[in-house]
Amino acid sequence: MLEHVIIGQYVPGKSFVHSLDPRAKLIAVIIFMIFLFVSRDPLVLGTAAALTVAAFLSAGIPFRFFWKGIRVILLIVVFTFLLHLFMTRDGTVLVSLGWLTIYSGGVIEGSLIATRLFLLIVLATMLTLTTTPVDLTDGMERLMHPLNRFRVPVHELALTMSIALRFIPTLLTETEKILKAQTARGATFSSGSIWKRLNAFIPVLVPLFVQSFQRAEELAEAMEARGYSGGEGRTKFRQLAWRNRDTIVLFVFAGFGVWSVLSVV
Amino acid sequence: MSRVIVENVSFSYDGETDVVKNVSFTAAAGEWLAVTGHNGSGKSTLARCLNGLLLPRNGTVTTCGFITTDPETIMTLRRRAGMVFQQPDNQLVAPTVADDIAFGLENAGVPYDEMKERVEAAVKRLGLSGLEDREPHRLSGGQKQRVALAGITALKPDVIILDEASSMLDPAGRSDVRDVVRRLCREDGITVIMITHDLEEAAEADRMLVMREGQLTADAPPAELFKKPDLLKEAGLVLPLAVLMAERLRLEGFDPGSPTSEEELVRALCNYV
Repeated sequence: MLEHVIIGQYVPGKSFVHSLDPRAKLIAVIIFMIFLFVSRDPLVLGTAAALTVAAFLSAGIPFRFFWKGIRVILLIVVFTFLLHLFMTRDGTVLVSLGWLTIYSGGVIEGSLIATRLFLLIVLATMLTLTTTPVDLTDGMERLMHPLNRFRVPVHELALTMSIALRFIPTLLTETEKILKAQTARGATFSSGSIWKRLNAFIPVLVPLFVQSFQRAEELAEAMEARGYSGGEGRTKFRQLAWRNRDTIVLFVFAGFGVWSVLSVV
Repeated sequence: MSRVIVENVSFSYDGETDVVKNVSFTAAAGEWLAVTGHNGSGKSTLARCLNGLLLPRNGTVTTCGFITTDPETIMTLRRRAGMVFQQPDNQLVAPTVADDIAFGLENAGVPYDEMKERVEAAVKRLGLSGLEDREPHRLSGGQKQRVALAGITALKPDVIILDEASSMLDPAGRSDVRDVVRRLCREDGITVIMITHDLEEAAEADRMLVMREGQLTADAPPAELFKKPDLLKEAGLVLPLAVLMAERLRLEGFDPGSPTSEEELVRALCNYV
């Protein structure tokens, strides 16, 4: 059940997208995220779709694996579409069934938002699927490094995140273990009303929380024992190398951003 | 000079009852010490006093020439005296093996080129070649403990403290870790302080310390202590199977010598036949 969620998972590979500097990928996704929502021009959206498809194809992620993981998230996209469909009161009336009225503006607005959201999710997933969490946090740490001057604890935030990512699989395994243990004691998680099912998860969450706190304490102790004393004077084992291909990718996405703005003006 | 000097150390968590009571001992360079005792005998607390994770209420601990109460030198001390914990999962910080081995070096501010060399050397020394990019959750328990040991070895330590490091492992992982520790101690001259309740594990040490209710009740070579079963029984420890077996054989009028491990027992029996 839990192994199907692929957000935040890394798929090892040697593709073009894998080989990019995490900083380049991060900036590209941020540019994409901002400017995707600027323009309503179908051509701009088409370009965005083309960029996403190109990223997907050059990342070499098996389609079936990808599809399985993204299915759950598509629910959010569909939900957003429906929300806009019913809530927008713009354009001509297409359907009128009692209290339910669907306007043409709703269809347009709904599809627009759903498409943008879908493209964004796919591209962001490409980022996490092709970049190891440590590279990702490393990239973020370096990008945010200037914020250090404003007393933002960049190193600490990055380390916290990298530890959180490191423990996700561990916690998943543990959750499954607890699920099995509670099932063995007669708990059911897949029958009864929604309320009942949610209630059934309390005996899973409580031990999970307790163990997580214990883990955190032990980890802190281990880090202390290994001479961790904050970011000051620390060197980095992970080295990032910016190459020409990174500059090119950045230019492509910057071009997309400029075009997106121009299509509005 | 002794690498670890513990002088009249007492420690209490709540300020009232002492968990460690007036303990003193020393460990020389390249020596292998086993600190044994029952659950709650204070042996893990004592281990945490050795690298300043806990500070004694009374007495002093001097490790690698640094006193643990000096905040100026505590980080240097911890780099020279590494510690492996019981839970393999909760001591690996970084997302891959190589990153984790580098964690201590990063903390010490070792330059990149040297760091790379040292990580590679530690990977080789601990037999982790090919696992450099593996995530911790894809490793076996024994491998995780070897990664933890590699992270310490990369810092070129003088002392390694193992706090029940193999108690969560299967027999294969256990002998794996013990092989590595043996090499680090006997070949590299690192002082090993092994906290354990498994006397079979302790049998290989140069000296065995017995803790009972916070007090140090014995400090002698294991073979000598194995001849005092009452003392060990009082401390809640179970003699190794080989020792018990030899004892029974002696009662029956045979002389199997004094084996401490199963292999030695088998060898002794074969000689007899």
